[in-house]
Amino acid sequence: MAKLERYHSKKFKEITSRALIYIILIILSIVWLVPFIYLLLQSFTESYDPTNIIPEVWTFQNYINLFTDPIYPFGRWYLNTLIIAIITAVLQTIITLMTAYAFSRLRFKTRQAYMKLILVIGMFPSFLGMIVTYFLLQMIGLSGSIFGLVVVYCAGAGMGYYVAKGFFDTIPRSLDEAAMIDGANKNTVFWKVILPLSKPIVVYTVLMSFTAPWGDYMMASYLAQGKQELFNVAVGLQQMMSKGRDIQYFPQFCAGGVFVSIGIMALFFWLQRYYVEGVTGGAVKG
Amino acid sequence: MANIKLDHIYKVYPNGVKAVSDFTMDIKDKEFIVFVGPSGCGKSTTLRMIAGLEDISAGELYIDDKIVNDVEPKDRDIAMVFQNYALYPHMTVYENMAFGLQLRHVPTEEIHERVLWAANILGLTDYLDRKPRAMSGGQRQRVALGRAILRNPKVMLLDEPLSNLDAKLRAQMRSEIAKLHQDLQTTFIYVTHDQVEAMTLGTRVVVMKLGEIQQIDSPKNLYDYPQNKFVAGFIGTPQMNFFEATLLRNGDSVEINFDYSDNKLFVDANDLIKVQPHYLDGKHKVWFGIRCEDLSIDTSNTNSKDSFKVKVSHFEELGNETLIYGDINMNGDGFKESSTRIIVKALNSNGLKAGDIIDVKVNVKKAHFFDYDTEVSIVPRIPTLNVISCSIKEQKVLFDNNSLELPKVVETKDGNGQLYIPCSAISISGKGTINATIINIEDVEGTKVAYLKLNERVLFLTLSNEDVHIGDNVKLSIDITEITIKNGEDTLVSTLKKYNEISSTFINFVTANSNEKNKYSSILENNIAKVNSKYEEKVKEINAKYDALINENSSKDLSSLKKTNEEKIASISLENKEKLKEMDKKYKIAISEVKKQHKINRKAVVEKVKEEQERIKKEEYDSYKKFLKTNKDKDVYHKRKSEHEEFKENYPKERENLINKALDGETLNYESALNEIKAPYKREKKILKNNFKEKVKKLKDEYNVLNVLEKERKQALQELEREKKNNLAKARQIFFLKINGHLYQSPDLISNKMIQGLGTKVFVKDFLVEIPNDKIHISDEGIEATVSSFLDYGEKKFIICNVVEEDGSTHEFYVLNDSEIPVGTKIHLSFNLIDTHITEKSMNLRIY
Repeated sequence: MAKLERYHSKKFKEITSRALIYIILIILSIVWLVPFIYLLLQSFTESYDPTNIIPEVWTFQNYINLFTDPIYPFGRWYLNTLIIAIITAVLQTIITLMTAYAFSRLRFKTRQAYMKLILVIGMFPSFLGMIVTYFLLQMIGLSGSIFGLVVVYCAGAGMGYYVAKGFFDTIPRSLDEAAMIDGANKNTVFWKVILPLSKPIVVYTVLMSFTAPWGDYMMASYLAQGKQELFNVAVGLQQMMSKGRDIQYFPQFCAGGVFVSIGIMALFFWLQRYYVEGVTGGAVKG
Repeated sequence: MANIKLDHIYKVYPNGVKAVSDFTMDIKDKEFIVFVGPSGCGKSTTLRMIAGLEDISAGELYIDDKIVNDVEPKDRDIAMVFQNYALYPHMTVYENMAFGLQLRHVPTEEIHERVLWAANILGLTDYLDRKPRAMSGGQRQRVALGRAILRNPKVMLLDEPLSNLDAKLRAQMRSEIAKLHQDLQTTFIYVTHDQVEAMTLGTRVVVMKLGEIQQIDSPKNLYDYPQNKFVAGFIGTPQMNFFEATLLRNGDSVEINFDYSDNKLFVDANDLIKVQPHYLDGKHKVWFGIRCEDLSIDTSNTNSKDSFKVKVSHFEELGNETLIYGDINMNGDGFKESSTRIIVKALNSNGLKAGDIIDVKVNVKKAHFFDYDTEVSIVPRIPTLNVISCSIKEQKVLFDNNSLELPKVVETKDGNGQLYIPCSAISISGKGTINATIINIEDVEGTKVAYLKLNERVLFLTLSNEDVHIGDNVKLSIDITEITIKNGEDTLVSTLKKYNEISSTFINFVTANSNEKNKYSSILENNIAKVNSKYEEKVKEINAKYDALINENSSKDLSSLKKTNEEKIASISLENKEKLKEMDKKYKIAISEVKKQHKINRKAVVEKVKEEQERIKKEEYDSYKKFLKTNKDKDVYHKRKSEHEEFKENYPKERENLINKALDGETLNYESALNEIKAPYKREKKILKNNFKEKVKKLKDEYNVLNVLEKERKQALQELEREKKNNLAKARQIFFLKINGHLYQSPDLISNKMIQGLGTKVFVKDFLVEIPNDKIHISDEGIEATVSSFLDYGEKKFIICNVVEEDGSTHEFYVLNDSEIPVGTKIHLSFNLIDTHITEKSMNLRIY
């Protein structure tokens, strides 16, 4: 009988501790999720009423307005953001992965020093250099163009090498060596051997470098200088809420927010299938 | 098919650690070389230097007589197999093997042919479209081997290829590698730490320790004639027994005394004839080594002279034989590895038990002896030095009832000592004064060693071409300049210095020329002019050839040809498109079928596991129900109940695990099936496309013939221009060695070695130049010297002179010269750099 009692008390403890954990998690997820749900629900309301969470009249008009409203050219902003984000994602991924590969595989004199330097420079907030950045862009004639933003985003791309380097370090060097003996140069090794093995990290880097310009506000608003045709979605949506017409435009703002997140979601679901683990299986002993 | 030469190769890491030092070896075509040694001995580093994956710090590596120090791995025409296989996991076996050839732009059909050839040899034909993930360790290693042999490389490098396999598979792969070597007839270099692999595979084995070569020899010789204690202990299991001992010669017998033991052996002096005589004095400590199979248990109880007493400690039964462990020290325990522990191989333990004292007979002829401090064998297979005790009396050396007159220039006092005669100092062809009989001529792998008996003692001599036979009486002469007489630490008579040492620096052309006021400009101009004229002719040849070809073709009617060929191209492309379409269709159907099958299979697999689990569940529940009905005991009830609860809790998890496992297996099969369709499809498509492109190009070239020829001419000229540039750069590379203020143009051979060895550091280092005393002569110009004395050795006469270096230090030079020159005369000495040895001073690297 004594045995059974102990069994029960152990089970009891387990149940209570689990309950506690779940309560905390539920509270946290409510705090985290409610804004999203609120946003989603309000994007379908006909007229904004802060006291009503569930809209009284459901409508798609807000989404239609987004693309037809002559005051706020959301379509233009969306296109701007898409172009910037796609170009940045491609360039930044290539630069980041190449930097990471160089730091992981090549042994040059200042390797350690560069790695530390990049770490230290990365600690400074990027807006410290905003004014200088503006003058630099003006000098190369890109200050009034969305491509100026691409240049700014890609310039520091190599600094994000850290995660990818960690991944490359786990790929056995003997693969590089085997390829070199097979007749490959460093370039071929990178593109034909290492990259196909690094799909998870490529996906990760693409996602990271796509989301950053997608949601960037500070640099984008600074370089747009108030010209609507240069806005990206973040700057544009903020503009929508900042001219004293907030109540009127709030549902449209919410619709814009939902539309923005759809882009990233689409990208994520598309890339997810490449995000399989264990692609290196069978390379070496195992 | 290649010879490889490693010439004084060093690997020095930036922190100063020498991973490989002074590795020199000649590897002949078709040899199977094995590098073996404990971990960290530099064997893998050496292999990686040959592969080009690691830089060579100093020394040269030749493949087929070409220096390849700075050649990229891919251009060395080597192939390598790695310990961890290093297969490309995202490619199928076929793609893995074809990768190297694809990078070299080999035509697709040829690649296909070669892949099939290699797969056939290695038994991989059925696995070509699998990915490495779906293969076992042995199969993966076979793919790695296939990838290596596919390119038909000059050299195959294998870096511990079998150490990741289990014992059975290893033995099997070992014989497969041996067979591969036989079939391919390629040079193999194989690294391993396993001495069984080394002994079974190698035609020659290199034993290494701490970056240094210990011995290079055939497996049999390594076992029978180890050159030092390390090799003796490393090769052979169980390890050779080593005892500390001293040897004392008493007339015809030698007494072997063992330290830490009362045991003594008395052996016939003739059995130890090759042991260097000065070790037989009872004072020099030596290592006595004997393998366990050269020991046997002596049951005769006669206490014979060649057996000693051993206290048995324990046994190791191996089935077919028994290893008896014991100690020659009656107080020792025989478990620790010590200098008294002994292992004896016997057929069985024969009723012995621990603590017994037995007589063990020693086969002294098979014993090995090593110097205690240097651990080098003191029984050289080819002796180079003879040592005989002697006495000096009135300028005469007396030894073994013979006498040797010393010339007056040798100053010495009377006394006793040991006479050291190098084999090179003995000659039997000239007019000697010492009588000797040849009692034996031994053939040591092509080198003939003659045993010359004087009165009692035997001298060794390596024969070159002399036509002598056993039993011949010969007259010996001994070159007095090469002998040494020592009495303990005192040297009574010393060898004449063979090499004259002087320091030098290495200078490039521009520096030398500007220092010497353009004295050497003409050398450079000559070199350049030679290259220029050679290439001018070649350019003319090429131009003439293409002019003729163009002339010939320009008369043809090309426009009509163009028309017909364009029509042909159109029809071919149509045909090609249709073929591709058909392939695509077939491919899609096949893929969809596999996918369908996969879906069905998945379901079936899951269903099967579920059914099985359901059955188990039902059984458990039934048995529990039955138990509840029949059981009356409460204690048993509680036990059974908790068991049942546990089952209930674990059941879903286990079921899921099993389902996942089954699904994983099915997925792997599915992937393999997919690859089996995908890979050949891709391959065929590629071949089709390539064929089409080639055909079109050929047709186009036919009517564009003039442009094509012009292009070819341009390419040929460009190629020539590049070659010329290289050769011009080579022609400009002129270097000098500055010795005692004089500049000597360095021969290309030496310059190459200097620069390969040291890079740009070569210009700031000091070098020691050693000039043999018989290769230096008096002439009108050269190093300035002052004669200080004259040495008359009878047959050979030397001048001793002083050379003052720029920094003020004085060197004594010995110059072979027949006539005497008055003391104080200033002379000039000249020599040829080719005859000298050159060493880098600060790191002590032998360069030439």
